[in-house]
Amino acid sequence: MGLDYLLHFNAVKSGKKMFPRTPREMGRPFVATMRETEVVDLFVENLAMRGTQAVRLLQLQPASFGPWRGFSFDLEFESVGGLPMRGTGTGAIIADELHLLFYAGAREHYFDRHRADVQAILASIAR
Amino acid sequence: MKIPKLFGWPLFLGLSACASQPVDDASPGERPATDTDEAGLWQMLERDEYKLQTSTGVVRDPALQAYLESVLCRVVRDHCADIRLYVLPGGGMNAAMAPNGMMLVFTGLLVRLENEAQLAAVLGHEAAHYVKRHTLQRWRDLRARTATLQTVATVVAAGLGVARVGAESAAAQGTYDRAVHRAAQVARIHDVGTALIYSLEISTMLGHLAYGREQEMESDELGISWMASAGYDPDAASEIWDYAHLEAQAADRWVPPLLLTHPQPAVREDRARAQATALSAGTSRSLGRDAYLWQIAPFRNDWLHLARSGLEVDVLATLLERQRQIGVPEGLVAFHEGSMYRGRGGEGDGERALASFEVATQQAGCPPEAFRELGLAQWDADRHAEAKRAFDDYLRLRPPPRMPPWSRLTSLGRHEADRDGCALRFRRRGIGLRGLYPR
Amino acid sequence: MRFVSAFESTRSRLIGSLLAALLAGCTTVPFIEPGPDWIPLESSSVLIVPPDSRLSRLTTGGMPEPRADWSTEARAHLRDGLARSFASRGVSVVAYPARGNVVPWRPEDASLVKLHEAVGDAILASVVLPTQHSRRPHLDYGLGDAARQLHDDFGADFALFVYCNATYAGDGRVVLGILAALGGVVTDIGALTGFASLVDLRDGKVIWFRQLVPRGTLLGSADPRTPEGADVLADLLLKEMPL
Repeated sequence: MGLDYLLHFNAVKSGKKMFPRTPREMGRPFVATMRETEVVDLFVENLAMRGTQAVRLLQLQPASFGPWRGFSFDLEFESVGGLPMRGTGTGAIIADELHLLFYAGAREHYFDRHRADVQAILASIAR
Repeated sequence: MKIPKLFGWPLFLGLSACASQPVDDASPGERPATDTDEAGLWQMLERDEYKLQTSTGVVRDPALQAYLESVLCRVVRDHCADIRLYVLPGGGMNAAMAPNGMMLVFTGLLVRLENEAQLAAVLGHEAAHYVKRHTLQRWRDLRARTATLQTVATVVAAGLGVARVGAESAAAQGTYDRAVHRAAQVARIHDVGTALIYSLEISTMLGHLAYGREQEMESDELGISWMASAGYDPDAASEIWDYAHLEAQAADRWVPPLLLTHPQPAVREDRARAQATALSAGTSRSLGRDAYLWQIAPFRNDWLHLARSGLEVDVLATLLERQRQIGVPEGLVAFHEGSMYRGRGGEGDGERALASFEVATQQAGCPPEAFRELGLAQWDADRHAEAKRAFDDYLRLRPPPRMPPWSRLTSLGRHEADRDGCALRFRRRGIGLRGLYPR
Repeated sequence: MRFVSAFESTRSRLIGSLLAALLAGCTTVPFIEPGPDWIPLESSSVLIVPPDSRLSRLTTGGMPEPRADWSTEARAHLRDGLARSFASRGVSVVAYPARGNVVPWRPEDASLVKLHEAVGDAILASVVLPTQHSRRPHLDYGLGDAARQLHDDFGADFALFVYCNATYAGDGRVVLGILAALGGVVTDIGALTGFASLVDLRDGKVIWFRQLVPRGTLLGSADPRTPEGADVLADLLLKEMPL
């Protein structure tokens, strides 16, 4: 994960881990009864397991995910190499499955560069 | 077949290289000469330290830092100026020492310790790694062992190559008997070589791990003698291992003793206790319990959040039970217990979580978010009127900010706000937050 | 090292591997070059950011052992070599104030250096196939507004960032390498990798980026531990530099 990246979690089933190849003894699975705050906590834990440091949640709010009611959140963190990053995620739990699109980029220059593209992708989500 | 002769000399060379030279203890203020392996290690770690210094991920609280450093200096005395201590957010019960004097202490450790004497034991142990130059010695040990391994592997490979060329040229000349003989030689060198290299690889790894465990023992010993001469109760060291042993049992993940990087907690506990008994006969020693807990109190909620992430429920339950024993206010422990049940989300866990949140919000020391969690749990149980009251309580304790309070992630580095939020609540009840610990 | 590979060896492979082990040369390949519409300035100035040099000795067991003295010397030699190479092309060089051994940058440049490190990694990672090398002006990498600070502080038009990582086989490793080569097995006996990156400080864009392709160091002349070797390396790195 470098200067900027887009993570797409598509239909994570209840009881499954967000990153499929997570070792058995590491991390906990997504559970359908999780609230938005808990999903964000889970996601951040997963980022931390991959070396992300100093995560700060800036904002978490209700948001639409295509035609569904979902949530969005903004993060600040440092990459494995210590580069200051900014991230934004939008997701929803639809029929007990987690859908989440997360975009992150270097706080300097890169994050803003593709933000509009990510908005366009989000706007294109349809049933 | 000349295999024994072929292998004889490199094995001898390699093994003699394994007998590493003894290293003097680092003296205060000492720096390695620039053309040494030690200077190389230092420079590598200084780069890492620079990254740490420019990172926002370090817990930077002047009061906490001053306290930890004062304990460190009391223990290591003359080496105080050589060691720089960094507190890092991390759930595990960990601390680490770099060869250049960079010491890392993780919040997961601080949240599990009970008193200043235990802290002194850990800091002394880590500082002993520095003074004993353990990283350098480990590097030299690994260097020698891998040299042996590579030498043998190369000789086997070279032998194979030569035999193979022989077989090919014999085949090319049409001398089939010789070609068959050479091919058999190739196969034998291959088999014997493979077996030899595999067994060497295993013994290299096991030997290096065993060497590391010896160093841990040496650090334990020096750390305990330091803390005892600083006036701390040396029994505190064995208590740490006693607790580590409990968590390891709860985790129920057995690792063969030969593969451990550190000695088994039970072994360390026994040795530490024996040493403490010898040291503390007839003297009164300080534990520094109140001072320690008072320093940690403002951070405990955040650090428990961090420690919780990724822990199995059984280990987490052990950790929370430990918090109770330490004397952490029930409001805080019950809140994390409730969150633990919610996180598991199994049969009946919703009810258990609700019960825990109810207890938490009745008790001293509960963080404001306990009211939010209580409200959410009550809402789920269709107790809407009660839920609304809980949400009101929550908002009163923590007014809706620009930075939402609902995640722990926001709160590292915002201890002051946390403290105020809780203080508000306790002022209502006429209890000061910090006044809770000394008993 | 996989000694199993000896099974695939032939006599020609044996000779080939011996040559590979002993004839260590160096070369660089372009990753980013200015597009056709790029017009060089009449006269330009370049700020040489202290090179990030990491040199190690390869132990007999094949592990890199960092060497502080080599790394520090290499940084100074390389800086001088680069300055000389620029001067010979008529580019004026702006000096960067000397700092400590481990962290040679000003504290206010820390984040910029971090960003460039990530940009360099991203550029290197952007190439999947060897055929993708060369003439790729469309690669749009940069430091953004952060580069302005350097422009304002030093008045330079461009900044050069250099990263260099080299391992040199110790005596034990050399003996093993020759022994292995006799048996037809190639052993790692050192490598020189790195890159040079030229940033336009007026808009922050990386206008030119060149990678030092990994090569052995045993007999290579581009050895930044000496002033002469650093000169050779500097010329290699700045090959086809557009200024």
